[in-house]
Amino acid sequence: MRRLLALLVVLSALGFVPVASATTTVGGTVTVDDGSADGARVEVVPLTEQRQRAEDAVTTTVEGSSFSVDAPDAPAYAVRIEHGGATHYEVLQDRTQVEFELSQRLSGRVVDADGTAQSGAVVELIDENEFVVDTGRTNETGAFAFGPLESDETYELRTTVGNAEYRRTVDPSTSQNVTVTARPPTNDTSVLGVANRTPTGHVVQIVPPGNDSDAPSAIETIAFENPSDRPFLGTVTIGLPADASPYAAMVDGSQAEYRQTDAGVELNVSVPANGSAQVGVAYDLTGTQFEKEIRRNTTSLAVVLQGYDPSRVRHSENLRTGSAPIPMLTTNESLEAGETISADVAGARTDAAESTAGTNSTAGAVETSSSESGSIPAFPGVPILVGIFGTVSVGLGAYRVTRSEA
Amino acid sequence: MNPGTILLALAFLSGVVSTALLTRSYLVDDDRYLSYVPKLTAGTAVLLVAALAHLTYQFVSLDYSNAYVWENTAAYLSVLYRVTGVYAANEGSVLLWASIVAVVALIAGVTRGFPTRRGKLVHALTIGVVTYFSAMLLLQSPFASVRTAFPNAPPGFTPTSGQGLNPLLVDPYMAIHPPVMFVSYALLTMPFAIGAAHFIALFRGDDGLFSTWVGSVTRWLRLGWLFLTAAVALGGLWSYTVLGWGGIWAWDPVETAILIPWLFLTATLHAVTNYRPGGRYRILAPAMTASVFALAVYTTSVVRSGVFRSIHSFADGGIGASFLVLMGVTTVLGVVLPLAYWAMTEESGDDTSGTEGTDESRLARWVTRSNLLHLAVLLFGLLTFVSLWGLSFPVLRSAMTGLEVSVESHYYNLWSLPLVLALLLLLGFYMDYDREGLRRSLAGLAVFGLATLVGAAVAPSETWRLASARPGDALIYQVIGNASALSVLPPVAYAILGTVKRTGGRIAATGSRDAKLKETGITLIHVGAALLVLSLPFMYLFAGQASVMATGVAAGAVDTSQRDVGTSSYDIRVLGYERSEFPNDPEPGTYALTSSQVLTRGQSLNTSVQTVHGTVTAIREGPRATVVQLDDSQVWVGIAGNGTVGVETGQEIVARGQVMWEFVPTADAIVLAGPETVGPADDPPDAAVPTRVIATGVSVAVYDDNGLVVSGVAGQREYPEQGGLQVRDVLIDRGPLVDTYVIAGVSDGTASMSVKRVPFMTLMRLSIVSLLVGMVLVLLFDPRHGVRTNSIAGYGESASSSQSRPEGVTEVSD
Repeated sequence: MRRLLALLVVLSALGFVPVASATTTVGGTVTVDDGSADGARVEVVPLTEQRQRAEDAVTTTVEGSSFSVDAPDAPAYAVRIEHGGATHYEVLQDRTQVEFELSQRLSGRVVDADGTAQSGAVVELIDENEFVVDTGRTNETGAFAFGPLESDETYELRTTVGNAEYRRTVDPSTSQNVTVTARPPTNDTSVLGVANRTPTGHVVQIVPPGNDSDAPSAIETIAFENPSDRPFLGTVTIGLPADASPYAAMVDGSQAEYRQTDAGVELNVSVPANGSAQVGVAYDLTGTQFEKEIRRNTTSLAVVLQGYDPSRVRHSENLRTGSAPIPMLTTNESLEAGETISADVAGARTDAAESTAGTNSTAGAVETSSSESGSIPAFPGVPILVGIFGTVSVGLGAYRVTRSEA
Repeated sequence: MNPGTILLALAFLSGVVSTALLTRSYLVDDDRYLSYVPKLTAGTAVLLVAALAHLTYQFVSLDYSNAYVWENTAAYLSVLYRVTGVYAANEGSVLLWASIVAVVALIAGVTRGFPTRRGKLVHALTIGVVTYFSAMLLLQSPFASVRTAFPNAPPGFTPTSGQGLNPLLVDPYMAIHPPVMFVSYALLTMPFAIGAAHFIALFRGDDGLFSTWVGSVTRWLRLGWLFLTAAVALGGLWSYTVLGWGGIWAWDPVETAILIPWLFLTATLHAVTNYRPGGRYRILAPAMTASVFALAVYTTSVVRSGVFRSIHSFADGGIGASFLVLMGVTTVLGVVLPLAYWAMTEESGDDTSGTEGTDESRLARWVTRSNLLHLAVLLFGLLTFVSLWGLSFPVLRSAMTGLEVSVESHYYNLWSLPLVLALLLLLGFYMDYDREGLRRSLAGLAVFGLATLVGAAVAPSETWRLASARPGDALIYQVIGNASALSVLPPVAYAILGTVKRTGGRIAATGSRDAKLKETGITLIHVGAALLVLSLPFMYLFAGQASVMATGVAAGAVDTSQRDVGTSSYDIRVLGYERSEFPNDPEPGTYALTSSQVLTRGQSLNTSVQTVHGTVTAIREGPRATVVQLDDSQVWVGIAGNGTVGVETGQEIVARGQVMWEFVPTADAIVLAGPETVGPADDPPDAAVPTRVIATGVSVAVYDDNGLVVSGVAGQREYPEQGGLQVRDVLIDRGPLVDTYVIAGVSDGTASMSVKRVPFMTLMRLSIVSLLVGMVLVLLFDPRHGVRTNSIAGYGESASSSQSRPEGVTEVSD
């Protein structure tokens, strides 16, 4: 029987290792005021450093008030808990334990400027990581209610009335009741400002041409923010450098229609109250010179020069070479509306082969090691062989000599 | 039912009958009907070989009515690669395997017969394996009609061109690697049957048959090892030239899958050497003998059932399930049965090892040759486990947790190296001890063991370190990864020294020619193994490559002067550019239908796009199209557009287009072509003759400080009809110390050329030759279990004669 026992121990050890190694146990507690999260579905998504999904998610359920699951090793995890129709998220970096304390409730009404209840309006609750926690519709009295919610999280309420969107940041631990007043939208562009965000609210990317005889093109994106309580619904204009010809425009990540006017490119844009929108336009330049007048006050602006050497680009004095890993120029200080920025990329192209090296690695295994190009270490083959066979013959001799003595 | 399927069905039937007769005869111990068995065994073998020959003939004659042929060959391939197509996928591989096992079973039956009851069981098991393979082949036949690939095609439909052979297999090494491997697997069937029969007999209260069959087992194992070593080596050399991994080994799952049986077979050979009837290894040796084949089937199943996405995934498919069943059966017979017997028999005191050296200290009692062999078996077992675990871990893990992981070469290399070095030190010590006695050999071990440790600590440069440890690595990886490759030298020298010294002494001591040859074989095997271990780490650690680009090669505007390759000491000159396409204007009959074939196939071709050829017998020009009659038949070719089409009466033409059946009242079939798809048969339009292979390359000359190293063409072959797959044409200079390996990727007139230097390839080739030659000598001339010795003594009556023969020296262990 001892042999049988030994066999069983070995087999179970072999079975245990694949489960235990290369996984991390992610666990935590979920407490709910006046209730229980027992049976709630938990999903753990392994993430990369860049917060991209690294591997397939693993799921489990809450038992009592805690859960624990083995997930593949990853630098970070997103934990997602479904409870009471809402979904709560936490991103774990450098930790594998999480506490969800679902104790707060949030209720409120959506009314228009006259105080009339807005029924049937969609209300979304967004958390700090931009995940949608819950959605609902207002009832006949314009009321909505969410909860239980996390006690240590700040949420954003988003509601749409008509075709205008309203946003409000709320902290349920301090204000359990909010009234969203849906004031009529405005088309006055003066409510909009260029967002003061990281990295910058206004980015111009100068794209090298595919063929050296052509002029470069530029892609310009501006993040507009609307700090007022009234949504913006109207047209904005993005100025173009002289003679530039636009070929595409974008609003909030999707292709948009545009009109070219004397002032530049005109786009229909909707910016939520207390929210922001990203607007972009792409255009071809006629020469290597990029020069344009800034239409709005801007805290910081960046000119991205991928494929160029920024130190060889001649530029206006209000720009300087940036310190970011990607080649770019940034502003020294805030720009006032009406100021002009310029950059001339003539003769600043970096080696074409270098910039395309990443894209034409069609040869698979061969090209992957091109990074160690030219690194062939010296190989002491002859000394190695001499060493081996020298040792063997010396050894044979030594044995013979010592034996005759013995 | 086609001839191939009938052959398989008959083989299956005769297999089933002879297995049943042998089993009955074993169970009831009654020899009635037994006289049919030799005939049936021969019949099975002949039928399977005939099926294989039939399939090969179909491949050579391009019989596309067989779906398997259609999928795995094409007309432009030479006869060698048409034959390679036979085992390009699972069905043909299994047929090859089954045929070889059948032949092995036949030979075993003829030479030894089955006079004893237990012999019948052994034979029943081998024939059973053959029968199982035949059943697998009936379920997934290599003779399935091509209509299984074209379910809507009418009876008699045959494609005009095949899909082609997997481009990776178009290589001379791949033409011989699979047959060699299947021969070795087939040879392992016999030890498996003997081992399994031994344990079945033990369970039935018998004392087993291993002791009387040990000579037979040794011969089968040695022969299997010989072929398996050749197969591993051929596979490695194939990947060296075709895949451009820059070495022979990359721990690809399929490579690992064939290495595992090799390692375990090596362990088994040592275990069988250490076997003493009723004494040492009375359970372990038969158990390992039975397990080798189970292990080979297991690793094959893991790989062929598509668990891994590896480079060898060309052979995946539904045959996986049958392999899993076979795996289950062989595991029960080869692993579970011995383990169960071992677990059931209680420990019966010590194994009476260590009776020698009674006057010496306790250490001397422990250090015996049999204990040292025991350690060797253990170390080989551990080495097998490292690879087996690496191969199985992802499977186990995905089964248990649903998570997929891959095992890096890091794991295999760093765990295996200390075990290999320990094995070499042990080899040196064993040989030394056998010749010099304990005291002197311990001194030798101390010197070389210490040198190994010092070598591990001394790295002349960063290149010598085995691996660049990453911060998150486990401690073992940090420790072994930081060790220097210098640690490989002392064990290698010690192993060679010990082997040469001991066998030299033995050769001098014996007068028998066979014994001398056998000892030479033993020397060659062990020295070869030590040199192989020497070559591998340096091949990887000191490999390097440098790259350079050349533009404008296609336009002829290339700079042909000598230029530096990176910062290496190599220079390169681009001498020219070459581009060729295959097939180059083949015979129209190989890719196009004749007018009479069109008429025979009739309605079935309607609306399909076909290529036709024939002689123009009439031309009628219309305002919008010209129609051309072929061979004075009811087949016409319509060419859109007005004006001349460059076709004249009496000319042999080729045309490609949609076939419309009874489209116009005056013709049965009309082929709707355009000016671009019609042309003379001796210069057919590109659209009609698909290009199968586009070979592009640059002719280069590579120089180092001492002058020209190698010159020739390097480039790639692209297979546009097979998903644009590309295979490298590499240029290799096989130098005595280092190989120079040139790879060129040519696209859009730009050639990016890499020069690799791979050290010690020639040393590795020599060491493999040494292993193979050594094993041939041992196999043939071993005074006790050699093939030659036995054929002199009479093979047939060796059933009860396993006593060591008086002539010659004493065996490896006492």
